Amino acid sequence: MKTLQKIVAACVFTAATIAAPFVMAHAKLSTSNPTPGAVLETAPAEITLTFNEKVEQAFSTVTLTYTDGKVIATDKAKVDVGNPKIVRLQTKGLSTGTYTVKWAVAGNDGHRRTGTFSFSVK
Amino acid sequence: MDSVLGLQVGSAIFLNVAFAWLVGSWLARRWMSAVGASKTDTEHLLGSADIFAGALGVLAGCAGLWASAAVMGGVSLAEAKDLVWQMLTMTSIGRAGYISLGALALALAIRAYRSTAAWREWAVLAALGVFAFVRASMGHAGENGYWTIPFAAEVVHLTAMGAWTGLVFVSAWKAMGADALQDDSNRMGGYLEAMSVAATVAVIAIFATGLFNSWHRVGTVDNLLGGTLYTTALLVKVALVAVALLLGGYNKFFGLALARNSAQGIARVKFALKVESIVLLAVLFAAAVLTAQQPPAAM
Repeated sequence: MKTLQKIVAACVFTAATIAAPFVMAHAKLSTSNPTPGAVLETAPAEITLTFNEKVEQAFSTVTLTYTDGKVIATDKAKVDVGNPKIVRLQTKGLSTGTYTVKWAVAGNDGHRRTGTFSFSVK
Repeated sequence: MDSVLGLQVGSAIFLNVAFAWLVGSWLARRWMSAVGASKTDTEHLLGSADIFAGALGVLAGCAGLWASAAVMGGVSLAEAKDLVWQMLTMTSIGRAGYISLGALALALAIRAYRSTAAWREWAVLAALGVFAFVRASMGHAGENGYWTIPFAAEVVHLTAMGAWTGLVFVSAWKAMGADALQDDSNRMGGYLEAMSVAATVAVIAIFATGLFNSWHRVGTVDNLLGGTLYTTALLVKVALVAVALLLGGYNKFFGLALARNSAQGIARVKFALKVESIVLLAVLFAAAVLTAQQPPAAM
C-alpha cells in the first residue's frame, strides 16, 4: 500500500512539474477590427487589435501596407491607456484595395510576438 | 542558438545560480551558527564565494536586461544598445529588472562589508526577499496585482527553488568542508539535520506551488507531444528534477543515518550532494531555456 502511495505521489509531482511551465502564456491576438479577410464597404478610420494580455507601448508597432507593397503613412499605433490589451492605429483616407496589417508587440513578460492579416475596402 | 538567445539563456542561468548561492549561504550561516561554529570562521569560509556570487549575479542581471531589450525590439544585440534605456524606463519588465538588480547589488555590497554583526544577515535577507518579489512580477503571476494568490505562489516558488538549489550548492562545495564541522561529528550531524529539514520544506513548497500553478493557469498538456526545443527542454527538466529528488531522498533516508556513524558516511553524503548540485545546475539550464522559448500552447 505504501508503495502505491509513493507511486501516486511521484506521478502527481511529475504532472505538476510538467504542467507548471505552461503558465507562461504570451501575447496573442485575440480579436481585431477589421477582422482578417474582411471586405469593407467603407474604409475604417481606425484599426483595433485586442490581445490576450497587456502589451508595452514602447515596443508595440503596427504598419499598414497597400496592395502594391507601399507602406501607408500613419501616426504611431497607441496602446489604450484604459485597457493596455488594446492597440489602436488611426487611419485616414484609405482608398479601394487590399491592405496588410503587420503588428509586433511585446508583453509584460518581455516576449515579442508578431503577426499579419489582410482586409479589403470595396 | 543565436547570440540573443544565448545571452538570454546564459544570463538567466548565472542570475539564478547567484541568487541560489546567496540564499544557500544565508541558510548555511544560520545552521553553522546554531551548531556553535565561530562566526569569524564561517565568514572566512563563505565570504569570498558570496562576493563572487553577488558580482556574478549583477553582471548576469545587466546582460539579461540587454538581451531583453533585443528580444522586445526584435533586433540584434548590437542594435539593442539603443533600446536598453527605453526598455528600462518605459516597460514593466525594465523597471522590475533594475529594481531586482539593485537588490542584488545591495546584497553584494553587504557581503563585501566584512562584519559579523547580526543586522547584516537581516539586511541580506531583505535584499534577497526584494529580489524574489520583483523577479516574480516579471512574468504573468503579478498581472492582476501583487496581493494575489498566484503572485504569492510565484514568490514562494522562486524562493523555494533558490533555497533548495542553494543549500545543496553551498553545503556540497563549502560548508561540509568547514573545519568546525569536520572536527565535530555532533556539529556535522546538527548541520545536516537542519539542511535536510529545509530541503524537505523547500521541495514541498515547490510541489505545492507547481500544483497550484497548473491548476490555476494550465489549459491542456496536449501540446506536450511535439518536437520543439521547448518540449525537449521541458522533458529534460522533469527528468533531471526526478534524478535530483532521488539523490536528495537517498541522503535523507539513508545518507544521514550513515553520516551519524562514520566519516565514510559523511563523505558519501558530500559526494551525493555534489552530484545533486550538478544535476540541479542542469535543471537551471533547462529552466532558462524554457523561459526564453515560446511554449507550444502560445504558438
